Amino acid sequence: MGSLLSCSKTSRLLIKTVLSLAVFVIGLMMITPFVFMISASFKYPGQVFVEPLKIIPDKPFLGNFQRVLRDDMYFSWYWNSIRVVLIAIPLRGFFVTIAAYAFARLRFRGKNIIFLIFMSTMMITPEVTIIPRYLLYKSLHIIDTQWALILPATFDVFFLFMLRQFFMTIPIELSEAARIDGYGHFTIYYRIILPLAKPALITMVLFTFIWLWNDYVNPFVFINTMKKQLVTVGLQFFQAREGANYALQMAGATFAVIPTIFMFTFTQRYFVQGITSSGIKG
Amino acid sequence: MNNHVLLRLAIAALALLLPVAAFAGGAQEQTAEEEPIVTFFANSKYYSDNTTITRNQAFEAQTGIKVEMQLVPGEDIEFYDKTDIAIMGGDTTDCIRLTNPINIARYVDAGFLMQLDGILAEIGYDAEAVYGKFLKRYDGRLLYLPYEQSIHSVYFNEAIFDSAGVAYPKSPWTWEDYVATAKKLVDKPNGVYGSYFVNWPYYYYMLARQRDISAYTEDGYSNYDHPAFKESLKFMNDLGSVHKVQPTYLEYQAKKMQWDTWAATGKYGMICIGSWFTGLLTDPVTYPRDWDWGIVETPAAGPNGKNNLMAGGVWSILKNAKHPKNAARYIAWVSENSYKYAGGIPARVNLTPQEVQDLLGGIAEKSSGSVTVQELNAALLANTLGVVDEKISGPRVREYSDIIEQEGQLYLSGEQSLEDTIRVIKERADKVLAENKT
Amino acid sequence: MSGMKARGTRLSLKEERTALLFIAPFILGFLVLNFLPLFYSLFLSLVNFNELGAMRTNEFIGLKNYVRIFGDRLALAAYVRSFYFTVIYAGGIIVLSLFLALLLNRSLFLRVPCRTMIYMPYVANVIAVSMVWAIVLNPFEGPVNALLKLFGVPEECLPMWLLGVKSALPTVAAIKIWRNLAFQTIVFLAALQEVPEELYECAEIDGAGWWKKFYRITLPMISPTMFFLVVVTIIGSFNSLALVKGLTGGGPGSATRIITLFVYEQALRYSYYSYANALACLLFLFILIITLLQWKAQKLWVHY
Repeated sequence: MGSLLSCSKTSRLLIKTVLSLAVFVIGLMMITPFVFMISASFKYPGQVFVEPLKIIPDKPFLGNFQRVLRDDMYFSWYWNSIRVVLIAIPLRGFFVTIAAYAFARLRFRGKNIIFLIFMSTMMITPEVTIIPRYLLYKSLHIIDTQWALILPATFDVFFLFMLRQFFMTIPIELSEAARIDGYGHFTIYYRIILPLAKPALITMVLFTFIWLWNDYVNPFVFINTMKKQLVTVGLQFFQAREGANYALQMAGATFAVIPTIFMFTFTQRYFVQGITSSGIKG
Repeated sequence: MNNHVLLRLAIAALALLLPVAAFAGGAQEQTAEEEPIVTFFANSKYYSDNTTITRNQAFEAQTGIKVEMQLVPGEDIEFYDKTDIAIMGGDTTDCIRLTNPINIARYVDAGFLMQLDGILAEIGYDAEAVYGKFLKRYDGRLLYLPYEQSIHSVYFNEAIFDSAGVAYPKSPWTWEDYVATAKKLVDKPNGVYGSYFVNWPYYYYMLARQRDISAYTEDGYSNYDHPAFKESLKFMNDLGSVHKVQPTYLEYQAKKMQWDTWAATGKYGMICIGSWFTGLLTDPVTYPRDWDWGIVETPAAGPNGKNNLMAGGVWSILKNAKHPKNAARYIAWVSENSYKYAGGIPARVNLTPQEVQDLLGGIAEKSSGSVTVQELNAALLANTLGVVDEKISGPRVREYSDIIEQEGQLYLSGEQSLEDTIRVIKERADKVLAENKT
Repeated sequence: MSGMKARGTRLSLKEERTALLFIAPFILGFLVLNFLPLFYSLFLSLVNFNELGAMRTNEFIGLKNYVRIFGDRLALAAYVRSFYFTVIYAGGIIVLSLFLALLLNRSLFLRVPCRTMIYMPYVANVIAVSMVWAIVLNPFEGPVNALLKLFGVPEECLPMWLLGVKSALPTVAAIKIWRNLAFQTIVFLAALQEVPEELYECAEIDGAGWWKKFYRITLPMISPTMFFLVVVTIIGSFNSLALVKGLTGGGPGSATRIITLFVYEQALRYSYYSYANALACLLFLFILIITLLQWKAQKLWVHY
């Protein structure tokens, strides 16, 4: 937020400390279910609710994790989830960004109307369209394949909207200058807009990953064969099989959460001030 | 510009054709000869259960027909979410196991189940001889075969009785006796309660069911203003709030208590629940306990309430089945023999005394000496009570049950008076049933 | 912008062609995969597909399903509940996440671990979340009420949190805020990165204090993103199915039976598919109107 030239050094330090403390406390509050989840995965099944606030159990039980890791299906679920994410992200990245560029920078007839129509599809409850979608995907022969999850994710309106907004904040002088220099739209898109919108792109990648990874309803309905299933549904199978064995489920969930934590940590550096310069001077 | 117009038209046309394709895609192939395979929907627990695998192997050995399970990950509601959609979409799975009377009713009404009389005759199977009174017909049509009867009994924790110095309950007895016994078992400082009821809505009208009072009037409206329902709901509430022999509804919800808490924690004196519960009590791996359990028949709800609650699972063939004959053989075999593998009590009328002995003996053995065959027999089979359905059945039963559950919850959490609750249930149910008549 | 007009019609036609090329694949994929089901939903709401298995015998009954909604006390109550929920949730989360993003944008001690901690609820399993909150908000023995008691709150005034008819809905909204804070915060953070440093420096040279900098520079620069977040948060607030099911199942009674849960039950529990689709289409109409109003209001506060 710029330097506070008028304040003294000690008061600046004080402000920084107080704010850091506040954020830390907020962080602690946020992390509680997570701690619970990990703690529960080390407990015996009946113990989970007996003393729930006891974070470190008296006798840690590794059996839950052993069961999760030894399960031959778990590995295929994990790999399926990874595969869906690895294919969907670049596909979505390309089709959505290029369309967002068109809406943000190009002029054509019916632009606003088409955009509003797109936006309107976000407003219908997904559960209600489950049957129409199932029948549709069945006739496209993508039921029980991962394409039933990847293809709809590729043509997603949510990030089209977000990226359009972002692209519109990039100063128009930049693209104007390039046009005068004779560059085509695709080059402008590729060389100017994309690099400048890095935080937005990273955001899209991050959340596409998380949402696809944590999606339950769509894999549940569209995929029939257990071996092709994703981690979220597989975990449910785990839990249902074991009755109310929350400890085991927590172990499975902890494991499943690791890639998302990794993604969060990995993308942190793109949200640091100053990564993108405004580019006007350059 | 023409190219663009054409392109747009092509896209539009393609888009419009797809719904047509969707409807056409449901066409089914008919095979003249059936391959020796049979398929059925299985939920996660069933699929991975050892007894299921053993049972399927036995069937395969006996008939040479291979069993393939179509796994549906999910429990109860989610299981049916998936199967509903699949069956409507023309799925050709052969059989399905239905366990809840409400789901049975749904599938019957939806016309998903194949008529069995014809196909059973084709394979030469006499269902009447095997299941007798347990068969239920709909306009004379047989739509499923019952594979178990689940009878309620009271299970009690002998260790708690012993430390309170109370004699084990003896039949026949009434709910007043039950409450009196429970009171003696309560030991607040040690967190011990006398009674435990799982928070399932059908307990809200248990007393009325025991007196065989229907939830519907003769002309198809709600009968919930019958005093028996009020008494029954009040009874459930009083157990926690007045007699204080079990956790109140709010405590139950707050602590997220479960259906297996009784077996898992051993802190409750008695529980009244179906005979499938013996499965938990004979499984020392998942439910280790250091206390013995006993069994006694259900208390009666007064002189007119000498009936026991019964439910039961069934097997049926789905209407789009690809291998109907094999399916018929499968459901006939599994309905007769399921109990030998998974426990529980079969819904058969043609068991020999030896078979009965074996059945109960198996449970007694696996309970590591907690109960004897005589006790099991007295409680489960040869008890002094008649038999009624544990759940209400009739038109729009799922909504009716949900109404009872929702309003009952409000009463039990102290947000609504008893009179208002009964009144609202009747009003809402009447509205739903009135719609049903149009 | 007048320079553009002078270039003539030929270039704008070329631009249109490029635009079409850029969005054609998206339109195609979108039409087929995401748009068609909507039409089908509309179609379903106009027929009488209200029983399990009755799919091939649809009879067209026009707006009868919609009329039925207005006579259904429970459905109307569900809509009202959802709107109430949206106001609390959307209002709360936009304000909080902006505040949090501003905080996290500064250089702080332990910034990276703190940020990671704040994002955690977003990825925690819904079951874990439900269990933890059930325990923490246990009105009898939970730590929150114990703390309140310590501060002298009398026993009868202790809130029932998830178990109370009046308190359940706001509690669920608060939990949803807590859970989703990560998304809004990150999006705001990304937007804040786009604000050029030079603007702040210039403002300081002119002697502007922190409020002026926020009001005159930060807000306008992030307003396009904020518009996006407001729109999608409002839309998303209607979609809280998994969370509500896990926390309260719609209860106690029907206190947390928001419209999406109601629709889900009508469709998948009672098999009233046409009725459910009518409810969903009506909800869609409401959301569309709200969004259109926001779209028009853009001119007032969004800076491009």
